[in-house]
Amino acid sequence: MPPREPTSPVATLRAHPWLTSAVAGVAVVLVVVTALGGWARSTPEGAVSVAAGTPVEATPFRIRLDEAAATFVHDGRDAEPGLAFVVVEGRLELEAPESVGFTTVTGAITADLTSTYDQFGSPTEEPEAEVTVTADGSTLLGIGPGLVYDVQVTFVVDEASVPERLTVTLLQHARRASALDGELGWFDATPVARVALDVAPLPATRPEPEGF
Amino acid sequence: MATRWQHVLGTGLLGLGLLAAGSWVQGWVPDDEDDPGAAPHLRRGAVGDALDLRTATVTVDEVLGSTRVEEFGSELVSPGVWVVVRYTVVASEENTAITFAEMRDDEGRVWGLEGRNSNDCVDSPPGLAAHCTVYVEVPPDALPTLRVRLARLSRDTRFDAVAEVDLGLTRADAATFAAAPTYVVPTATLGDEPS
Repeated sequence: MPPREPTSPVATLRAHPWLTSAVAGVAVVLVVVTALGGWARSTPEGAVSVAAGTPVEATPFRIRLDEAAATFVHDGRDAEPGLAFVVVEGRLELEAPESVGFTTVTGAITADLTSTYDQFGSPTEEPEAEVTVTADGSTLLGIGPGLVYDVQVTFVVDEASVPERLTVTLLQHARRASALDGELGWFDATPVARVALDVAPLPATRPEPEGF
Repeated sequence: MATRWQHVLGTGLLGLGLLAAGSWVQGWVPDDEDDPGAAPHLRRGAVGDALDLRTATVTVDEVLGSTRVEEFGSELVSPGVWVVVRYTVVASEENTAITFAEMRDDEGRVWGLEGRNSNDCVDSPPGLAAHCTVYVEVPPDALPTLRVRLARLSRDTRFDAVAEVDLGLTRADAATFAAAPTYVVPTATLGDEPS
């Protein structure tokens, strides 16, 4: 049997163009993903379950949720007919050294509610939290460092969809420059903790709205 | 001769390579805050000093505080204290208002106009004083080193003159503010203030 001629690597590559292309493609993808930091886990520890009343570090906030209740009236405002409020009471504190705005505050809290609405009564695909200050009922449109607020986090839902138990997810953000305008801000919300709360049920009857 | 799929593959590889290179380079490009020439020009002073901001002169007239402020009939209760700064703006050559306001302390904390904080000011024509009010809630431990910064544009203070006024507060003021009645925020006015 004649001895086999050793083939050069180049000849091997030329002999299998599709395989070569596939290997090259995978190699390029690996290099690009590595260069862009794509292998890092977005939530290294994942969202953990915590008990009510436990403070959670949800960067840039420290959030504590205590209890939840369903109601037809919140801060003197009546729910639209057929709708109700689910109100979660807790405490909110900013741990970053600079004030943050409304979207970061509301983006840190969501819940496993269905049939949800915004504060004006329009249906939403995702629950929209409104955070108000317990002491005066004002909407917390942002928060500065060093201040600790007792807050109420309010969701609007169908009256028939008020749950007996609610899981609130707290999300952390990362500080980076915006890809659009380079402005530093808080982005990339990722779940950091889940808090399960019993929901005190709605009153048996809806109160009559007060006339003028 | 390169085949069609080789062109496609080559184009794809080139695109991915440029994307990776761009992402890598982006981390090394200086941003706005890395340009020392773009830093705001601070005009420092104390309460009562008239500070020239080129387009206007700003004077902090009075510093007050309370745990409660009221504006438009709504009372806001702070878990810290509301620091209220009354100031006067006199435009130099064209109508000007102060729309940027923030407070800072020596711990590096910054309280901007996010949230319930507010700056009420109006455009003032040259030579006519506008009387404005900024109120910001801060923790009481910030008072001893608290300064207010005021400037023309809220969105961008780069290259601009910014007034920085030491409010001259002390720890004792925290107790005074805590006991103070609700402060009703006045609307911004033009011209001489009624005595």
